[in-house]
Amino acid sequence: MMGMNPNLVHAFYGMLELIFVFFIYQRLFNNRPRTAVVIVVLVFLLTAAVLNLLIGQGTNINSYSFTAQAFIYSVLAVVYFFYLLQHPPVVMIQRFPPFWFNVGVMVYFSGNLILFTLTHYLVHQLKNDLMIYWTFHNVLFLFGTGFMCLSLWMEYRLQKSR
Amino acid sequence: MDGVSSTEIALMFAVGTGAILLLVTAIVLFVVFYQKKMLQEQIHRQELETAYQRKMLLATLESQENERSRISKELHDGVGVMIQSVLTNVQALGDRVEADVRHDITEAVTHTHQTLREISFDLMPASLERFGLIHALKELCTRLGKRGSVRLVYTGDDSLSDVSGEQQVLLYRIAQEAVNNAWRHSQATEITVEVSQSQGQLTLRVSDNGRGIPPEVQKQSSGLGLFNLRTRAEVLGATLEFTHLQPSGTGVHVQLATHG
Repeated sequence: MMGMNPNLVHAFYGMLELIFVFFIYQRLFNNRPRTAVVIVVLVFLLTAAVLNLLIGQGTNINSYSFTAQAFIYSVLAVVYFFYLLQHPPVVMIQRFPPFWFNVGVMVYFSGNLILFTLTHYLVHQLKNDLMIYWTFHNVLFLFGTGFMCLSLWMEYRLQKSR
Repeated sequence: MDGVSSTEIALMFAVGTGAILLLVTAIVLFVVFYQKKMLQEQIHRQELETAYQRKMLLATLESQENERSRISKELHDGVGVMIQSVLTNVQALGDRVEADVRHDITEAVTHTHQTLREISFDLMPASLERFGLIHALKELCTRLGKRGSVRLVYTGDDSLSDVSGEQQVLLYRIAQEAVNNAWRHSQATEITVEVSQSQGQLTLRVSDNGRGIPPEVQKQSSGLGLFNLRTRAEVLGATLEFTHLQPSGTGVHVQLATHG
């Protein structure tokens, strides 16, 4: 079972995540680029992910897809930070919920970039049982999700105060 | 495991991930502090802009006051003297003109002269430049008191210290505007002007027993009179307050920090 992805859920989850994250960022960038452009890019990336699942890495961890996604999300997060600097929505940027969502995305995906990049090497060359991979992944996941929860909590407080 | 132990792999991941997380932290901190710096610069720019606007406003008001002063002197010393000379000539006509006609001309010229003096005084009272704010306010009360049924009273200090000529002119204009507003719109029977100075604070108070300013008019400040009051107080760096007096009337309260 070493390096296998038994129920394929993780691969499909990655694709769903791609759709969600792209549309969330489209909203955060004030509906830019246009939805048609986002859909075209999504179709291209999803096709690549499906091809990787069918004829590429198959039932192994789809690390190529995850690496590409993590890279794209990291770039999106950096660009969004610069977007926030150019168009500051509030006086204190750290009180803006999407700021913390973006921090969560950046921590989780850029942190995992090295893990995803080295997964194939780890499994096939070093024959590692991925315990270390999952340990690091889950710690980063905790941090990333923690920041996203903080963002949701801030948004909830903001809505409540209105 | 081809010579690479689990510990080495863990260390490799720890270093790589740690480096990336450090980079992320640096980016987040950079964004937060850079935004803070940008905000401070923006506030600084706004402050500079406000100071510049205040300077421009002050320059405009100063040139306005200079022009008023020039016109006032021209009217008083130039046209006023000419009218006075016309009056003397009319009186010198003696029996060459009918008494009724001479009387009518004398009355018209005297009335014109009086109006001219009032216009000259409203533009810039000579007493303000010569003797200062208190004297000019007393003269304002006396002159306006003679014009109609409203009683105007000056109460307060008889002298001021550490108030510049420019500040005195601005304070006079505020008092003049407030008195004129009360005179024209409040239906008051008594208007009181008071200037007092203590503990580095100069207080100018103009109060009347009229019908008062409706709150919505105070908030809108759409009237030119209220706008002028606010603008002059702002240029002066003074606080301006309107109070509703009991049982009726309005108080205009100006407070200015002086060093006296």
